[in-house]
Formats: sequence, C-alpha cells, structure tokens
Amino acid sequence: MAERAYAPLGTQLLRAGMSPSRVRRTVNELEDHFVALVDEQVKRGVAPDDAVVAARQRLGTDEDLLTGMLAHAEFRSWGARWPWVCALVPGGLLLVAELAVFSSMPIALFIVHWFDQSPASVLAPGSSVAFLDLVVIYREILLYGLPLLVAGLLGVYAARRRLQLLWPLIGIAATTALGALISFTVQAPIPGVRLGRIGAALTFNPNLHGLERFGLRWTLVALVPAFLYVIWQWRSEIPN
Amino acid sequence: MTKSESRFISGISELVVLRLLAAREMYGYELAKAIAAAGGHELRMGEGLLYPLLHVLESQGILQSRRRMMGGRPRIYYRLSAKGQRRLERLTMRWRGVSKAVNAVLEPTNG
Repeated sequence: MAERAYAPLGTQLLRAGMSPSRVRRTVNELEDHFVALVDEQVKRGVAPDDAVVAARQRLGTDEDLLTGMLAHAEFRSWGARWPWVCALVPGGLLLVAELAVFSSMPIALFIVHWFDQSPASVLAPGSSVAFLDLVVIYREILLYGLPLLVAGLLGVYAARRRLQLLWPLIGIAATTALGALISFTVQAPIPGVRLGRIGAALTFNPNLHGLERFGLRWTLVALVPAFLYVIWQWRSEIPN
Repeated sequence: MTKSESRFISGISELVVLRLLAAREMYGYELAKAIAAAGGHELRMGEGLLYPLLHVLESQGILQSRRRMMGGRPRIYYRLSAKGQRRLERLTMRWRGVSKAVNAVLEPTNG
C-alpha cells in the first residue's frame, strides 16, 4: 500500500497541469518519506495501521500538499496554463515538418540515383524502380505519416498531462484537417518530351470531388489519434 | 496551527533548510528529521511541504540535487550551491536584524 500511497495525489497534480516528470519525482519523494516515517513508527512499537495514520499526518493532507505544489506556477506546463495552444501549435509544427521532409527529397533522390546508377538524371525519363518507390514512400509520409505523427504526439502530450479533452481534440482535428489539405503531385517524365516534376502544396478544392477526398483523408487520419487519445484519457480516469 | 502561523513558519523555513543543507547533503526525510531535531515543535509543519520548497530552491539554482538509487528506488539528495551559500548569508543577516528589532519591541523597556 505504501508503494502507491501518493498515486492519487499524482493524478491530481497531473490534472492541475504539473509536468509528468515533476509529478513522478514528487510522488517518489513523498512515498519514500512515507515509508521511512512508517518504519520509524513501527520501530517505536506503534501498530502498523496507526503508524500509517501518523505518517500521513506528519506529511500533511493531500489538499495541503496539492496547494503547496500548485502555488508555484513554474511547475505547471504550458499545456495546462494555456490549453488553447494545443489547438494552434501542432498545425504550425506540421507545416514545418512537411517542409523539412519535402526539402530532403532531392537529396534522397540523388542518393538513390547514385547507388542505383539509373540512366540520366533521377528526374529524367527512364528513372529506376527504386526512384519510383522512393517517391511513393515520400508521398505516404507527407500525406499520412506526418499528420498522423504530429496529431499522435499531441495526443500523447495531452494524455500524459491529463489535459481536458476539448482543446487537444480540437488540435487533433485542426492538425489532421491541415494535413488533408496538403497535396503531392508527381508528373511522370515522357521520354524525349519532358522531364518529370515533383511538387507539394496546401490546396483546397471547393468542388464536390475535392471535398470528398478531403473529408475521407481527414477522417482516416484524425480518427486514429483521436480514438487512442480518448481511450488513454478514459483509462487514466479509472482508479488503480 | 492557523493559516497565518503556517505562513509565518513557511517564511522562515527557507532559512532553516538552507542552514541545515549548508552543513551536509540530505534527502527529504533526513532533512525533516534534522529540522525537528533542531527546532522541536516550534518549526513543525507538514513534512510533505518541504518538497515544493526544495524544488523551487533547486529551480532557482539555490540548491543542487543528485539522484541515488536506494533499495531499488531513486532518492534525491540536496545540497547548497554557491548561489545558495550567498543567499544563506544574506538571509541570516536579515533574520538577525529583524529578530533583534522584534525582540526590542516585545521586551519590556527599562525606564
């Protein structure tokens, strides 16, 4: 019992916005102290149950401890102080990640070309299978992988900090919606006519076909992190 | 203990903690015992409230900490930093001045 004596306080501290590492450390210190106090009392001949009560009294009530820790704003994470940031920042992070990954593509193509020794330039007609495979991989990363990753990381961040559901869910929806607006185009080279071309952009097609594609991609990518986040959050509400 | 008394004790507990940690490195339980041994019931407060104070002082660079594994559990030991040493000297001087002034008010005047 002593091992988990302050686990409920830890959950309260997380919900109040304290960072998980700070909560872990505080709970470890309190439990270590609690065990030492109980041992001290038992060695003096106090009955174990009474020793537990006495140790609790000496450490202070959970309410006092909670108030003591939360009196210091610097221990609270930005996600708890400004939860609306969860809805805005991940979208920006996604765009930066998309740009970085897309920018790395020419280097990756060049490396594939170098080792594969395909004819002419990698962007020229006659490109190898390895080159085309690489383009497909990049496409999947840009359209699905990165939005999933960023939304998933937001879910993990919010769940570990026991943030309220609203803002993280808005963040997941906004991030994945932005991801669904990203397009990736590959123009295949035509031998003797033109070179190939690869592009990525933020696009919005207001026609029905465009909306359908957007909606499908958005739903596909948003559902996984949102579902896992809600389940994680729900499980953390169940007492140990 | 009333809330105002508790605040009063909290105010001087930083000085007490710094003074005790200047003597040697300690972890939370050891420090609580040292406070009880030095101050008896007069300085008693919820021992758990030591941790927010220790964490704040550490985040301000006044204390340094290190982690040691004891019986499979991490235990954090605190000691005074150079900045903490300077703060201890300042607080000690201030406390002596204040307590002298308060004593002068509390003690009956002669003539």
